Amino acid sequence: MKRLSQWALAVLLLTTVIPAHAAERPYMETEEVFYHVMESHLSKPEVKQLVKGALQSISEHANEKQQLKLPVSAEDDTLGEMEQRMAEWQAKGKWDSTTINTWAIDGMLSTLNDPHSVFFTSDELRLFQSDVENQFVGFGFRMRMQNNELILREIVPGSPAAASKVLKRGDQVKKVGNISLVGKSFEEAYAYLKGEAGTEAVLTIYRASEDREFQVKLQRASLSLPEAEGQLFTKGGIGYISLETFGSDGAIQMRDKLAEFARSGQPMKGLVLDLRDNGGGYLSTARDIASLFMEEGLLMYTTNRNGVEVETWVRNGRDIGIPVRILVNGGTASASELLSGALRDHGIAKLVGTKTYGKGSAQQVIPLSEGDALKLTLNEYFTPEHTVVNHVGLEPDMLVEDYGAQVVEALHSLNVTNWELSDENGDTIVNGVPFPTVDPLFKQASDGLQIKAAVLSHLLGDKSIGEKDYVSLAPYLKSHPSLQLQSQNGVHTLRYQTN
Amino acid sequence: MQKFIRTLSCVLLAATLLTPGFASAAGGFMPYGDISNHWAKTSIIRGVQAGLFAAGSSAPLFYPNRDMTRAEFVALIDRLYNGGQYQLYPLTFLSEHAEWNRGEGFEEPYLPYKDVDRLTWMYTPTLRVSYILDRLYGPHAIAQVFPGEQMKPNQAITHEEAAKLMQMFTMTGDNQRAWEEVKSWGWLEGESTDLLKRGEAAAAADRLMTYLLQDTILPLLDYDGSKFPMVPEIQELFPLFVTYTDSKTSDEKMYVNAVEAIRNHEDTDNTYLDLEKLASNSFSNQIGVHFYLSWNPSTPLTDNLEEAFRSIDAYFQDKIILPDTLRLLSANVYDIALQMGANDSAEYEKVLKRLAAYEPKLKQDTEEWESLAIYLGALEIKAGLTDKALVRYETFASRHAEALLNSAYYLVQEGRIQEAESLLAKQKPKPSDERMTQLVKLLGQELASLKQQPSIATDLTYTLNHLDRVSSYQVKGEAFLSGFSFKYTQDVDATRNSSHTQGFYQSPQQLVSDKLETYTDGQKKIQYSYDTKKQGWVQHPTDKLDFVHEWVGTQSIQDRMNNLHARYYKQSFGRYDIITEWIPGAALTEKAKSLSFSRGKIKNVSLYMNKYYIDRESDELVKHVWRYEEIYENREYVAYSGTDQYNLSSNVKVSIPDEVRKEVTP
Repeated sequence: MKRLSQWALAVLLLTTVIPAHAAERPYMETEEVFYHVMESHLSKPEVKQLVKGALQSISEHANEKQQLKLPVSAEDDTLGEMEQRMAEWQAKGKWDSTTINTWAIDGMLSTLNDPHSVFFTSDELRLFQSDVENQFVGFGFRMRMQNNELILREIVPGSPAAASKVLKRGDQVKKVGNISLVGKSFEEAYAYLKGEAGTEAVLTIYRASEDREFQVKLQRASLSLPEAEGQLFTKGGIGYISLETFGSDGAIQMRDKLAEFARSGQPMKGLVLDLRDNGGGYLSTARDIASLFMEEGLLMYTTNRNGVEVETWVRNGRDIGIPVRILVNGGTASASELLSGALRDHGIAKLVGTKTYGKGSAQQVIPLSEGDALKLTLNEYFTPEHTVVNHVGLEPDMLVEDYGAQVVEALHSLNVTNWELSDENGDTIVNGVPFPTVDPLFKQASDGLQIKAAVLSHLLGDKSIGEKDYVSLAPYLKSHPSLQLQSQNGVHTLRYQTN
Repeated sequence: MQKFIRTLSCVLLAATLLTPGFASAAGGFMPYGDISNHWAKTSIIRGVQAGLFAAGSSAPLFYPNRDMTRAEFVALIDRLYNGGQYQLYPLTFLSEHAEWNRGEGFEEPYLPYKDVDRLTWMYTPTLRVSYILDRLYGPHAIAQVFPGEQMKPNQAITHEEAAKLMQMFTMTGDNQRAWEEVKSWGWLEGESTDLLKRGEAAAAADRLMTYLLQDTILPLLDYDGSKFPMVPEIQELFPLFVTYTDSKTSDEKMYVNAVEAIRNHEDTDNTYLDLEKLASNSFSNQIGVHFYLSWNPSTPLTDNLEEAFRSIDAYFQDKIILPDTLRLLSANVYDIALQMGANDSAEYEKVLKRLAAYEPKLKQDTEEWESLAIYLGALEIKAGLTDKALVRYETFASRHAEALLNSAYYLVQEGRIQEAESLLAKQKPKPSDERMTQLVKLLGQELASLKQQPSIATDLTYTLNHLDRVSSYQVKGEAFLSGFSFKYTQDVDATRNSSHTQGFYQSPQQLVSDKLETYTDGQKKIQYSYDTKKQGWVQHPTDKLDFVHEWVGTQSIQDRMNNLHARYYKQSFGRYDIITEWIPGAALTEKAKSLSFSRGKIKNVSLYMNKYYIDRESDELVKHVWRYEEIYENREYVAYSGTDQYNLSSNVKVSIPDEVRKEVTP
């Protein structure tokens, strides 16, 4: 192109270069974050806003920690003034530079109204990366926040938690050591539970089903989990794949799962992709996974603070050729929403479950000096139909609240006619695939066996049953001849055939 | 440090350029259990050693008699290209380090097939080969080899399909002739419709590797002015000159240690003090002592040159005929001369005189004489005595590849193409001399292409004029300038003499891209561009030249050919004609020195290359790829490259909005 040079020249002159004399600058990390946020954050913040945020945060910490009153002046609205004030306050409070830098950075980031722009120390960065790769150090269980209680969602096979043999899905974690986790946020609880590999802790557990509290001593270990797991449902040629995270192996593992289903020899009639509680991961993995579903198509639009809109396409993929249902919930976020939105817009998949999280933004991890890092929101993305995801979330096509009932509804919509539901070790097993539900499928009551209302309602397609609690099974066994219960050694199996 | 400069200087650089990207063979290695009695065994083993075939416990058998699939052969071509990619660089302009399976910019390449999926082993190599073919031959070039929506990667490949892929390494101007060309090189045998066996593929790859390690296509092309005069490749740069046994005298030990140190870049002042001690005593290996003293980085070049000549004196004192040794000693003198000549070209003649003094000591037309004569000729050329060098080189051109190359090159430079042709016609190398056979054939093809220059220039002029005749067109492009990346769509409205460009760019100092929008008023010679930071329009005059490549853009193709020594090369592939244009830096720098640019005076143009892809039916320009590198007196280094795709049938209208003109802040 002719005359592009003019352009680059003009642009070069406008470029701000971050000053690079490191050693003598006590607030260099604050400066770095300041410049990155000013130059790159999606929201195009004002200088004044960041300065206020930083000083406010230091002032609050000073008050909280030392009852030191440091009023924020409305006149401080430049980086220079901010640093001057920081120096002055640091002398008064006698904190080290790391402390005041951390407060300032947290303060600046808090003004962005963006929970996904985060400062990481080098340790936190490592943790974040292992999390995306589905590797972590821990006791070996996964948790869910439910009714403000911290509930074990899954126990990792081969982990210390599994080896202890006393923990069960659905148990509530109440204390770690002497620290109570009751009423704590998920993040706070996580902070108390984490630790180095090899260290030990005593957990206080409450088991609601037995109404008892007990203690267990566990060691933390380093664990690496598969990103994609799954199997075929025993009936109807339907595959099930659960994707935990969009790490670097996610696409390959998913591809291998699909190949495994194809090798089974039975004609495939549908696929259930479980993205519940999948918080996302790498965009490139989401795109590779999308290529397992479609030959070619738009994956998303991304925009940045300058209004530049870029299309991301999936190319050289393969049409999946079978109907797909994606299970989603409030924990389905980011790359999960991206994939769900794109596959829905292309008419490949329908979403079953509850509204998704609503993280329609993309971050980049920017290394800072000293090995720390800044995860900064640079882009917002939209689905191929320009659906806004950020702060909104995706509404499912089939709204189902109950964890087990979501599976039943998905299978229903894939025209599954033969059903076999049972309950084992706290799992709800639907056509051979176990799902880690919190509440058991069946419950023994004075008037006989009861079943989760939501599951039965979606199984029978009878809305009058309702979605809450348990209902007595007996009347339905009578009214639906093809609904049959078999009980053996305390294991109940419910079979059903739709017409 | 001078030593490192020396390592990079001409003679030695020539050696590294010719160093193959393929690993060399070693004996006694049997990678598969099913090839020991196969006729292509040696080729298969060589292929494994060169990294063309995977071996090991996961691949215990080679299956040499099975048909090779299309995907397997494409992967083989990918690996062959990878080993010899610098050979095709003048035609691809793809840098060695470009991550070209992801493209060079914002656009990611992809395959025009429905049956080669991203997440398969064959995807990356196939995409890479497709990308190289696109670069060489224009959009969707791979579809000329495997037509249709399906590549059928697991189908057996035919000889002709294999030939169409291998032809990228040849000078055939036309893909219709791929099979004949590849057959004529002896890479494949049999019938074009035969299915290719895996053993045959290994043999073909082996022959192609040998070819790639020798001279390649366009042997006379010197696009950056560093190739000619050509001198031989030096195999052993740091010899001891004498073989020593384990029991060494203390002097011998001192010498061997010094050579070790220089070889490993661990030499210190003491290294050279030791060598000086040996020079002044009766140590017998005076060739080596003086040769290595000439490497002393802390003495002036004139002293180094003295030592280099002393080593030659010592060689003649020894009275033992060792052509390899004399070649290295002469190369050493030539190398120092190149460094001295860079500052003062009068030095070449001085060095030439001294080196030529040894010539009478040698018997003309012996290998020993040739090893000196090749450098005498090179110095003659450097000293401006090209005619003298041509006479010298012609006497041994039939036995010496570099002499033949230099003869042909300088005859062509002097406009004596017919003489070059008759020189070449006289060459009848023995079939056993693979290098000369290959070189003579390649030179013949290149001389033929050189004769087509005027007609290629006419074709290109016609196509570029076509652009001026259309009333409007659209360009979609990506460009890279000094670390910035641009992606844009440009509407050109010839009727109104205006254009409008929209897109975005990425600065190397920024994490997020920014919008780009400009209007150009061709009549008033003003460009308006939107400044997102200032939130307003700014204007620049367009009648002043910033860069040398802009000035070249104003020159007609005829003028480029006549005044700037532009070289043109035309290929045909599928529906496209592809014309590559190179302008050697020296000629361009010379012409541009008298011009002034807003970047200041030009110091050096290290690269100027264009590639035009033309639809043969309509004569319309489809795509243009360029790469320019310029260094200015103020030490600014400008690297500008990019790809533009043209749509001449797009009907666009551009009128510059009033608010753009009005809002301009001067």
